[in-house]
Amino acid sequence: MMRYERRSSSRSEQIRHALSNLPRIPADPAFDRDLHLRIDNEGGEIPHLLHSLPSMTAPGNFEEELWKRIGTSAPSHRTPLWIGMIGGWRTLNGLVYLLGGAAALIAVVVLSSHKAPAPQELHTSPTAATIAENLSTHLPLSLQTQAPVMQKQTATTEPSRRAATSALASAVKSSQRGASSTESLKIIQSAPVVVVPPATPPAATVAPPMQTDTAPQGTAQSSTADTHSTKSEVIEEPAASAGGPSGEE
Amino acid sequence: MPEAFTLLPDEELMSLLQRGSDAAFTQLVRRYKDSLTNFVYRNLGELDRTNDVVQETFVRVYHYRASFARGTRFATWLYQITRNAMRTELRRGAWIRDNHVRPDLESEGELNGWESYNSDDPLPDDELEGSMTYQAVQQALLSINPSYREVVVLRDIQQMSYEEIAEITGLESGTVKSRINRGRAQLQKLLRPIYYADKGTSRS
Repeated sequence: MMRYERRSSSRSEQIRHALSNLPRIPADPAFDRDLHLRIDNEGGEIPHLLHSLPSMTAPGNFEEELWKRIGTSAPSHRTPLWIGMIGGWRTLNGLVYLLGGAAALIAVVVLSSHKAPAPQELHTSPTAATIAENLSTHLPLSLQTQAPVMQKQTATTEPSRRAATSALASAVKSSQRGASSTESLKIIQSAPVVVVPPATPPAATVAPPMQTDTAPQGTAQSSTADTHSTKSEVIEEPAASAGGPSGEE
Repeated sequence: MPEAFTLLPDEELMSLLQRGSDAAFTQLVRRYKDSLTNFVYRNLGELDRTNDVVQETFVRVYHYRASFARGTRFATWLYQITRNAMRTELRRGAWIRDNHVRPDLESEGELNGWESYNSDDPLPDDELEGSMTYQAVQQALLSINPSYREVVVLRDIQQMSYEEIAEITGLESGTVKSRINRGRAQLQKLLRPIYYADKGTSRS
């Protein structure tokens, strides 16, 4: 026990000695100054310095400039902003509607001006009338007499087609039996006429309004008509050619 | 303008402005134009730009008056708008100089997205400052970290409370205090020569 105490006391002595002999470190030369500054700061030296700065003031024409910037010269004469906003919105809406209406109107006018003519307009158009008149004046008489026939042909139906076919067949049979050509021709002429729908423009299919009631008479005239003038015209109409002057030959 | 307007609180004037009273707006402008000019100038350092920012602030107040909510403190709302206008002006960049924070101060705080100015450039409005000390303080203000400068100006120049500053900046109250202390410490370092000269003269 005594040995332990003696050993520990000697150690603490050594430590104390070592500590006392440590090299001394001098304080920072700025320590005192920084400490002083720190105390001043806490005491409000910097805030005081800042607070003592001269106050800056707005320029004299500040308000005038401000009102100009807001968009009006004098506040008392201004329209409240909400009125301006509503007015602006309505104006904008009105403009949009106006432009839309104008565009729609223009579109309607343009479309109506480019619309295709109606079917009834074709019949009453001067072009069709002129064509009909020309046909009646310039075509040979034999063709004029065929015109009513053509008009009738447009109303031809399936039963008449069958009747024509059977008439042709009987004519062929009679010719095979040795009947004369005149007899066969009469059989064919008695049959209703069937016309293949023409591939010509619509105007050509329009029949002149005259001589509608003269069909039998025309048919009789056609047998005495000139053959040369009708040959080329009757090519498209097999029935007409069959009942035309060629049959008389 | 009706005389009664001078006695009305800000919030009541705002309410009148929302109902279309331009006189109420004029009253608010007269109340705050100088303090805003002071606040912006201490942050920007140029009178022309300061005037522009303050005008822009009031223009925004006028145009966005409908967005002012009841129960909001007008001064806080106004300074928030001013702060945004100031940032917009700073970011415009035409007059912003590089190397705005001194290298020895840069490591002491974050920039927080703010730009500032070179404190070595002479101020254009030198004559406005009464003495060399004021010029030096203004230059020192423009040299410190902008995020510190803003709160230091609000606290030490505009004399606002920590709570008000926290509300305007959207920071915690503790963050506000810490930034104010750091800003003051930066100012101390920058103003040391002047500070000691003043101390020396005052002690002698």
